[in-house]
Amino acid sequence: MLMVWQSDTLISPSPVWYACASDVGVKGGSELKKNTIKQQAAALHGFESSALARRVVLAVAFTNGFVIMAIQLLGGRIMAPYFGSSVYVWGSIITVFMLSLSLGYLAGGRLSTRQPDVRMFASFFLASAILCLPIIFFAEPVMSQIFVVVEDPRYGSLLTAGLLYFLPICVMGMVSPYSVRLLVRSQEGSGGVAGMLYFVSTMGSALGTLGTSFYFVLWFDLDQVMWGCVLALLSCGAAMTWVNQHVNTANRQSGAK
Amino acid sequence: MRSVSACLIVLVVLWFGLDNRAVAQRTIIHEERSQYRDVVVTEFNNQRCMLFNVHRGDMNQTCIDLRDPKRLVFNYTRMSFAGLLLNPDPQRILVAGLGGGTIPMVMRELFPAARIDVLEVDPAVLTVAKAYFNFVEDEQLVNHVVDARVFIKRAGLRGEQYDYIVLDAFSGEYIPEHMLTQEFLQEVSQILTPDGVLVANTFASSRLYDYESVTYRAVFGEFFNFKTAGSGNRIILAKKQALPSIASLNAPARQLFERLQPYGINLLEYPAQLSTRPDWDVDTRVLTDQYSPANLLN
Repeated sequence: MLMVWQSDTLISPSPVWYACASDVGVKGGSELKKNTIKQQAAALHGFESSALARRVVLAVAFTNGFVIMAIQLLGGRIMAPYFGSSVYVWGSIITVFMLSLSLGYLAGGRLSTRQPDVRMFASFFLASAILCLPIIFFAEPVMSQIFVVVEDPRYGSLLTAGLLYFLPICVMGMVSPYSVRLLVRSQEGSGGVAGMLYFVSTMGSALGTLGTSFYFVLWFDLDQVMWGCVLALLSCGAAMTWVNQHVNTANRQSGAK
Repeated sequence: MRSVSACLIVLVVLWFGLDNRAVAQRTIIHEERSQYRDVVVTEFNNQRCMLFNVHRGDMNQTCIDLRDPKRLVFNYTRMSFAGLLLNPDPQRILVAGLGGGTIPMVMRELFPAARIDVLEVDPAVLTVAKAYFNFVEDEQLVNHVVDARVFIKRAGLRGEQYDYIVLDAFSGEYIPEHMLTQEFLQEVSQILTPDGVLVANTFASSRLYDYESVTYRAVFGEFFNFKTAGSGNRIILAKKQALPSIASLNAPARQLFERLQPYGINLLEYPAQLSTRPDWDVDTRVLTDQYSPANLLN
């Protein structure tokens, strides 16, 4: 327990991040609540106190936001040959993405409350990468089937968007609340942590939108950009796994001293 | 200080003065709210025009001459009737892109027995075409409020065929990228009768010229390229069968000349202006559903 506190002073976080999410003023808070958070944090074995770990979590949150919007923009182009590019096709896509994200937030938040585990967090990225593969391999057959069965392009596009995007985007939505949980060290600092994570992930979304609509579609095939997204998600999973082992090793070493 | 306020006053007067002049030039007689972009009807100099994105200074989509409503105002609209050189007597006509309904209405008058389907995705354009541009639907001429690609794909599944197809959905600021691709043109080819003709209004300037040219070439092989001086448009005339010789087009031109004259179309001039010679970069990449950044290339 004490180790967690002491390690606060050992890390040298980047100034911006630290200003947002530092635990300054935590001593004025309720001792009881503070203890609860600390006890749960113990399950993470000091993960949230490692400066490196924090930076990696921010980086994967950024990438996650980036990939979500890249996939959304590609979605409009993937579906246009079957359902047109009318307003309601975009309406379908945005509806499904928002619905998936909202349920993902809910599920990710729930999962984070008991026994938060960095390995589970890493597995979100592996899962979403795998769930993106049907978009590459099965979008055509799925759409040609739905095109025949559903005459109205509004419901055709809604059904297609639901089938192709619900699961991967839902899992990507789980990343956000879970990453808050991984980084929060005190109740007082939780808003700062959440704000910082919203900041980087939404910044990622902004750049993902810009990059995809301005450049990627000009440089690559749609499927190539999708593969880029899959690779980015896998890299996030790998980075989290690596940093988790790194922190655990460091903890063992400092525990041995 | 005083001179600054004087400058400001001068600027304000100039601003409103210019603004008033713009309004005097072009009277807005109707604005129709749309899901896509508001449709504006203006009148100036005895011309009534339909515009999109009027505040950004977009060009006229379609215009009619109020003194002589039959006469076609735009060169590219007249040019699109060059398709009649390749199929002088169409029976099943498909027009993608309504605008003011000029092309389908002229076709309706020229070929009373023909069955004409028009595709327009924006219901506001249909409303305005009917109210201000004399567009009338009847049992022979029907507009479908649908994305043209969706309609054409479905028509292909139903096995329907047309012997005269006009693609004119590309005017305005935003280009529907899914209607420039090889896959789309293959779907169009599927609903084209063996002796039918495809008339496509495309971009003559910008990098898209090369991209569109190689894509049409990939699907239809050699096609007639139709450009006239002073027009920002290029008309592509394509067939599934081999193209006839240009000399053989003079006969249908003479045959139809008188019927097209009231619309201001001089069909006799057209055959000599057709060309099959590629004047584009033939190494350009073909546009596909996987790669169609048309709005970035324009």
